Amino acid sequence: MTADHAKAIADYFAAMFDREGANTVRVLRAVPDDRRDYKPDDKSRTAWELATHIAGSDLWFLDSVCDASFVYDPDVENKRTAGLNTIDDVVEFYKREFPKRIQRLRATPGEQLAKEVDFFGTSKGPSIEFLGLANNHCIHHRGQLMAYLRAMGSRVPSIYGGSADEPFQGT
Amino acid sequence: MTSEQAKAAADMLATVWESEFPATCQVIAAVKNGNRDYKPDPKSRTAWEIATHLAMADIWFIDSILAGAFEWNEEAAKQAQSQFKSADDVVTFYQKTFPEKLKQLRALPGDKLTPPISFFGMMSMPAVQYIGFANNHSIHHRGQLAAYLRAMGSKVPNIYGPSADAEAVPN
Repeated sequence: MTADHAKAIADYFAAMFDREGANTVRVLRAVPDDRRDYKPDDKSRTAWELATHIAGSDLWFLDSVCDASFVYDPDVENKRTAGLNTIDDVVEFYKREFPKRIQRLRATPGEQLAKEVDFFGTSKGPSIEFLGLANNHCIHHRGQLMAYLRAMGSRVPSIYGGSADEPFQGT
Repeated sequence: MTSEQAKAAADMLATVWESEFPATCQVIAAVKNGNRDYKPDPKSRTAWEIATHLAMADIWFIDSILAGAFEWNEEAAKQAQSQFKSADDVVTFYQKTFPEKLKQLRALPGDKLTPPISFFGMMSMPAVQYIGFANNHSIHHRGQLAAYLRAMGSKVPNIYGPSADAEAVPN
């Protein structure tokens, strides 16, 4: 991975995160606060757990890629979202913090992003390659959360096409 | 983005999408003929509709990027869908087709990845951007389907970490 390629890939993902971040805000906002403890099965995460997990881990992933170092400290991560008490708090937090991480990604030099990193002993590669995992992890959990919305009495926003509740808005 | 940079981005995205292939097969395979009509709300798609849509859309997206144009033939789509009688059929189709299409995508020269393509007049992006869009569409619907599984009586496979089901019943 050359620095030039790493930078081009970072710019590609940054543009995608701009679009997907807006989609994520719409899904988070659709979670009704009074139904946030909903889960479809005893073993599943609640809507609140998914919403805060998405918001916290998106920041952690992008910071880790820019730092070229993956370290997970539960205390640090819990503190990150500890002040969030309502869905509005989560939305405002995400709207404020995620664009800062995208901006940081755009400003990180290609040489830094091309550095080889170890992902908790499970895989190694240039730091930039873990943006794919960051992106898919978010969209996976957002897809799960979307599947909860109607059962919580809410509406499903259009994402990649119209939903039965909302026509496609384009991207 | 130059054609060389587009090629680097396409290669990475193909690797990211390919890494999702085993989990996508497992999630589709968790849909059984006895529970495939499950949907969490009358307005939602059934598990069967999502499973078949997911598998066929991945192939359609790649074919469209290869052709440099998006076209939708409702009749052809219905006919293709009618070949599936069970989730095992869908998995067999996906296992046979997706890796081959991804190989063709990887072979696409950089200068075919930079021209803009119209998506039914709703948006227009360089061809390489649709690889990310297609990957995201796939992960999104797989996330939805994964959220259906327990309520259907199926088990959730490991995706980005251990699932509560996979821990209880190790593979």
